[in-house]
Amino acid sequence: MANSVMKKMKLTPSVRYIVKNLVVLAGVSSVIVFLVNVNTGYNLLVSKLAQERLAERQYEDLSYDQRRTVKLGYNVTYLQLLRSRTPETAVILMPPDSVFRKTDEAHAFIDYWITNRGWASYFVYPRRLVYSDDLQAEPVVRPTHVAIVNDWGYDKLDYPVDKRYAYDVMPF
Amino acid sequence: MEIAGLLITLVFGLALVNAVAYRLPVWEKIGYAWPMGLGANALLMFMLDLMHISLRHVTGVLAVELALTIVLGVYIQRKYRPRLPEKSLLTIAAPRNLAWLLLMATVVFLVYVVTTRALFWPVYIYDSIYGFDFVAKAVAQEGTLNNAVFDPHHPLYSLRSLYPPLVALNFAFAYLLGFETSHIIVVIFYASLAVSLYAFLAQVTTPLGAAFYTLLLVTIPELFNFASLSSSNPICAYYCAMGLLALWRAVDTTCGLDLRMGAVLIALALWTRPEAIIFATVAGALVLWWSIKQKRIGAVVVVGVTFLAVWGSWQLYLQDVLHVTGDQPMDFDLTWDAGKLSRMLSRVMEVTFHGSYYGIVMFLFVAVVFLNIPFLWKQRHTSLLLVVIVAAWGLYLLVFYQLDTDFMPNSTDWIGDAYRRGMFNFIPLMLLYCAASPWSRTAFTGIERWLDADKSSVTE
Repeated sequence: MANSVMKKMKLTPSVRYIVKNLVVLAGVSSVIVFLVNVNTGYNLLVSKLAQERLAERQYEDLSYDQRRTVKLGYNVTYLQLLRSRTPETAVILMPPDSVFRKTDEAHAFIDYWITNRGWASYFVYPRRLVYSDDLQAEPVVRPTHVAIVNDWGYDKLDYPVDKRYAYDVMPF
Repeated sequence: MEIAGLLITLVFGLALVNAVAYRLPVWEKIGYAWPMGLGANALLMFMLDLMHISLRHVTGVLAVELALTIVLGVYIQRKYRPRLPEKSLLTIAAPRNLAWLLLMATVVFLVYVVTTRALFWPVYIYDSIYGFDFVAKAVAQEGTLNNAVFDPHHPLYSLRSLYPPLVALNFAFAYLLGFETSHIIVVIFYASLAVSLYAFLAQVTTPLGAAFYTLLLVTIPELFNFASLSSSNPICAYYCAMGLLALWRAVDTTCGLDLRMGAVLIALALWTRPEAIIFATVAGALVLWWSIKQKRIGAVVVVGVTFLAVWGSWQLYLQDVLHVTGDQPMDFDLTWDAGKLSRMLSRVMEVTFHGSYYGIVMFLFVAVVFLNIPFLWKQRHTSLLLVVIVAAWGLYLLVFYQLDTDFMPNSTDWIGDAYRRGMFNFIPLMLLYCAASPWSRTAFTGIERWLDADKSSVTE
């Protein structure tokens, strides 16, 4: 009994120890605050923490696909349209690169990533994209669908289309 | 399934670490466990693929890992009976002082932030989408590395898709477990890097010092950003840095614990990114030195053959199975071009000392190097770490110098891109060097002694 009381007393930190702890704590905290204030990298990191929290709140109701469009813009919106409207076995004929560069502001393809075959294929895989500019090199491929971009592509179809959308995908 | 699958790789890794180096301190083993488990997971997936067993049956992969864990567990139990006394986790993790608690709480908070951010956003970085994440998606869909991405008639690969497959296979593993994003794998390596570095630091400085330098690691702005992205750099940084640290520590010891652990980590690095060859060269030199000192030349032969086998296996796979070659934009003949070197070095300095990328770490490291000059000969083991850093950095710069570019402002910014992220490999080594310096040790020991002088009241 006496031993346990002694043990308890020994484990109780002294006032001096608590004060010293607070001094070191204040010192370490000051170093952190100082570094955040003088270094642009730490400063950005701290402000990014707040921004990220805001963004997560703003987009928390969005699906993964929708969050991807937040980051990658119309490139992905359009590729997701191709994916949702075609079967997995589809071979989709894409317009020449120049067509992607002529789009309007609402349908702007950021940095024209969509013209990169490997990058764009990631979003529609296992569907296959065949670019008109490459048809010479890939003559054996027979597309099953055509990507309609800024009205390009309707002339490839051998049937009339009543309701035309500027951005769509149609079967051959 | 997601959490269970990752926990199985953790336990598998822990069993492997115990089999390789049972006598290591418990925190080091915890730090090594997941990277080791995921590294072995990739090797296992690769072997199953070679045997034409579809990787889509992820439960099969997990079953093999569980079986191997049990076998290793029985082996370890028999070999190390009676068990070695180990400090309990509670004792080691007990709070030291308020400042230590603040620093560690900040580290844990930042790892938590990185985890939530990583799980919130889908993969969106260009390099990964047109690289290893695409390979991972195709592996998860088709069950093999030999998939549509490498179709010779319709190739969809980039140079990054041809990197050794540890990253792509683990990303595929994450998708097969049911994760919507592969980011979780990178987060695991980021957290493991913090745990492993803390464990190493705790051997050269006080707990407060270890916590301080660990916080400096996790707050490196560039690393903090990349830890929640689908990037292979933090993964490579773990293997290269921890492997070199283990080998550096091995040089002064006669037992092969650190040597075995370091060699395994560097072998896994060789399966992560091509730049690991540089670190494997330095690692090879350390192993050679150890072998000469211990008169055990067999060790360097075994390690050398292992490195070659790991690196060669993927090169052979690329050549004989995928039938693709990754043409590196490099000139393999050494040539002298003072203008090119000058332009490159000027950009190197600009990036290395850019405060937004690495915080204060580079400045601190350079300051400590200068302050340590009087101790260069007295503290030979710490000086050896400096030699390791400088040698690896020199080789790293040589690789960039040999790139097929003139480093003119309008050319590809290799330094601002690849070099910038490649510096992650060096930072844990630099922080350990700073922590081991007499200046840092004196400062942190002084603080903790001052605190401990009044630790408990004995008044009755």
